[in-house]
Amino acid sequence: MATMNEKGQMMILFTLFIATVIISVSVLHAQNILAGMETSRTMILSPKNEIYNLRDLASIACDTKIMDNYLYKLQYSQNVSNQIKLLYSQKGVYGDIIIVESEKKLIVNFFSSDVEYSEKLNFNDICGVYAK
Amino acid sequence: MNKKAQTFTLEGVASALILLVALYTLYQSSLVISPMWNEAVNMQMKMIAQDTLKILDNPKKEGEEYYLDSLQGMITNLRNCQLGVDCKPNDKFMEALEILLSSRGFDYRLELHWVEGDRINSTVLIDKKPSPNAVAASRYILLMKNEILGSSFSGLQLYDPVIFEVRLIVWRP
Repeated sequence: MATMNEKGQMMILFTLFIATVIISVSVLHAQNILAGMETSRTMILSPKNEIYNLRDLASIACDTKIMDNYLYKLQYSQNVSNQIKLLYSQKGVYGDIIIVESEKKLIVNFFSSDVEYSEKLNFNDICGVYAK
Repeated sequence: MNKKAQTFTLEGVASALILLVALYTLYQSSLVISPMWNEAVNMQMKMIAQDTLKILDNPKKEGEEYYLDSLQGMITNLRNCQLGVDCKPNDKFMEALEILLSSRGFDYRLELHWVEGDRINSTVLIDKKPSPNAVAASRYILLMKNEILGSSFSGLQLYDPVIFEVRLIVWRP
């Protein structure tokens, strides 16, 4: 009987060991899946395309051909800024392009609940680059 | 003999319980696989939608006119139609969308948003009903007011330059 009990204890211990291994592997598996899911979610929610869109639009908006010939540069700059702000507000984010003609500079702003992005660009570096 | 059998039974029950707990944990965790797969598919579709818009965004001109299969050409050539009623993109643009999306098994909806005064207006150019797993991508197009003269937008109170948001919604049917 004593031998029988020892065998039983061994069986229970072995089952416990196997169960611990299975639980550990499943927890590890779940962790990896969660990490993968979070990574893909972060990638899909990342506003990089919105920022690229703003930069491309800035490149077109400050195209020197337009800026040199346009009589109402300040009005032009304000019109671009107002429309972008409104269109981006639809998505619950703040987007803006400010054309500082006097300094030949462009400011691209993007703010969302997760990302704050602001960049100052020279006319020479960005204007018409996308259009070429 | 009876005691032996009882011990065996008890050991069996104990082992079964432990294994049950382990398997329950395993199945609970593996349920997470399904949303992850959806996310990955959505991400891929969003990238395809964004790339499609980027390919079609072509600010170059052929003489005085934008290419018909570009976003700019599509907007400036929305003529002789009423916005929100019967305005459809031109055939060349539709052909380009067909090649980029339909031939790869995607269905799509195309919307146009713009600012009029201090409010946002929009129109649906390709009206199809998206499925719940649809994703959206946007591209912003800047056009001078004189470039949309003669189009369906010419009578509207628009800024100069006017910025259009082209929104493409893509899904797998």
